Amino acid sequence: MLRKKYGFIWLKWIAAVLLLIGVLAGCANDKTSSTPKEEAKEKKGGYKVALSNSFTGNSWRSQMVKIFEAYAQKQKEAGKISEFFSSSSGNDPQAQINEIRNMISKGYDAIVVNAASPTALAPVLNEAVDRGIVVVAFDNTVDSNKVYNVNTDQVEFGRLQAEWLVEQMGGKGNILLIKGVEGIQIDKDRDKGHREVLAKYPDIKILQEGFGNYDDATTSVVINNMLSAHKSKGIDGILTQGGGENAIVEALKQNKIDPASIPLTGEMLNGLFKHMKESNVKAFATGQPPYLSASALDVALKVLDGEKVDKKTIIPLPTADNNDVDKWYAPGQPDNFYVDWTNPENSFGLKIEDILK
Amino acid sequence: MNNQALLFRRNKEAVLAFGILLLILVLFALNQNDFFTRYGPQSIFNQVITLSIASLAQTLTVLTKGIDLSIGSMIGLTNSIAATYMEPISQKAGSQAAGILLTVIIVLAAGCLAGFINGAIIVYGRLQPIIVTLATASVYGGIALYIRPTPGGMVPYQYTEILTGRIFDILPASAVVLAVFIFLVWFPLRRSSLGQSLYAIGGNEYSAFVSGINIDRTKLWAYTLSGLFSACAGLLLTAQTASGDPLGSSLFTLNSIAAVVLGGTSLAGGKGGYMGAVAGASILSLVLGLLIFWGVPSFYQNAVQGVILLLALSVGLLPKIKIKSLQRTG
Repeated sequence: MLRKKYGFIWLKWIAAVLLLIGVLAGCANDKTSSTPKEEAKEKKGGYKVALSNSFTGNSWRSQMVKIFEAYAQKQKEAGKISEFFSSSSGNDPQAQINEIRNMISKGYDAIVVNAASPTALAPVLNEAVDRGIVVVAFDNTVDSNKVYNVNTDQVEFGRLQAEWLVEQMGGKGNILLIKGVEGIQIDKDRDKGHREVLAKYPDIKILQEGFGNYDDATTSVVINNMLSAHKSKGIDGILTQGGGENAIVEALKQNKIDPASIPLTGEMLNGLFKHMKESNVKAFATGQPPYLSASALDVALKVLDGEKVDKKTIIPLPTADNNDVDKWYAPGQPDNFYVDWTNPENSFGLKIEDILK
Repeated sequence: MNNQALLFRRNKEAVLAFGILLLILVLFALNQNDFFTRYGPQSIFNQVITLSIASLAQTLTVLTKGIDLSIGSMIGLTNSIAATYMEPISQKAGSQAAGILLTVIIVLAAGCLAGFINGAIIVYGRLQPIIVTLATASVYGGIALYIRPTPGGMVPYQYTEILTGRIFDILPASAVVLAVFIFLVWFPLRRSSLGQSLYAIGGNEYSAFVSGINIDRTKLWAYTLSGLFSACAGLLLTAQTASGDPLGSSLFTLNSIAAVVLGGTSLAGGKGGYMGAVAGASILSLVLGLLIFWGVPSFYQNAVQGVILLLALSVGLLPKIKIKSLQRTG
């Protein structure tokens, strides 16, 4: 008998709450759904913005998030933004979809996204756009014509690296080519850029090529094999997409080759700049800049202010070689620190301390 | 005994989970700015639906004192099949509706087959479910990668709209799907002799055997249905993401176990039910939303999920500890 009574009570509670939700949902008008857009058009500033990131756990991602927060804080102090928030869901599309659903509910004026999947997030982001929210995807962009995409040109990445190397070598000589991860789009794009340039210089000969997986461990094996096979032929340059610069410099030293004697390409990583500074390595660096998050926020703010912006924004790649080493090198930071924490002209007005805290 | 009392008695383990869920919903009402519009419930139900269905699959195997570690892989596999073949099949079939229907049937059949293979190896190979499903999880994940080496593919816009949109512009489609699974799938199943057998086997396999229950056939059913409902979850995930990802759904395995346990179903089998698992799945899916509303940094998000799980488990253990200490002192 007692049990029966309890059963009634808690079932009734659930039924009541569910009914309440249903009734309120049913009779509510969609006033809130149409206002954000109109308000945004009127108020010019004081926007609420959110960053939805997917994967965390490498230095690029954590720097990217910190740069977003530091820049958003600057904009908040300037009165442009009233509130900002960043969240990382992990590399799980369903979790990021839920994250974005809640950001929509929270009523952000703009959502900046580094997507876990180019396709999986499209439906929920389209829904956000339909409800008047400005959505800007960057780095891992989204296949949707409703969303603003901000990225760099990875073919240009390859072109810049190869052009510099060819110039250093005077247009002729032997090179080693170390690519990235086999089969991924970034590797294909960068490789395309390399080959576009190399095709113009028939006097440059690729002695051997291999995949370095953008890390020191894999690159170390690849470069050591290459050096033992081709050392005697004379190597005039090393063209790598980046990520394994430490391993290359070490391998050269072990093979009794002065690393300063062979020009090499790489990414905007502190380790490479350390070698430029300490071992006089001649090198050129470019990279996917972590400040893309700040660039994406810029795009979002422009759109909110009513400016006309292209759906696709290409951010110029930052570049540096051994002549610029003092401008970029960050002593005391780990080798995997990305030295391009702000764009060359520092239009975001950031200081390195803002990123490090 | 009348119906309500029976319903309560069968779901009493879930009271705690429903209590937490109620609290979360109240907090949502206070913090989710569009809670009282037609978008709020739609957002909530879309967040909970996939895991809720995946946890139905897990509930059935856990009730028999088993476990299914291949649920995430089966969801990934069916998701990949749906996203890869729905468009081509629609074109071949000549009409979108026929193509969608045909693909759904193929996907459900694939899920049944995957589940049946799990069940057959467990029952006829006399092997532990935890090992078998761990192994088949890799196999199904591999097949998914073969079908769809990279995330992508596409499904018709209508398909996404039907399963994640609103019916008559008010009622969230996900709510209807969840209601169908509770009222038209779970309740009849619970009442059927198969449902009774699942509980009996989990409670005490030997007694069940002595009582004349066909253990092998019941277990085979449990794993086959687990595959079928994983395929349903895969179809829902396809609607949510409008694409396929062979490996993106691996977290569903552990989350479904967490949801089932949070809902009061005993991993020792025979106790609990789906109602609790729905509450558990909803809690796990929605609690992160609160942290987002409150602007809590994401490092804490996983930790909070874990703490809730631990708390729920320890509260469930309290009566047992009391009895033990009474036994010791008395």
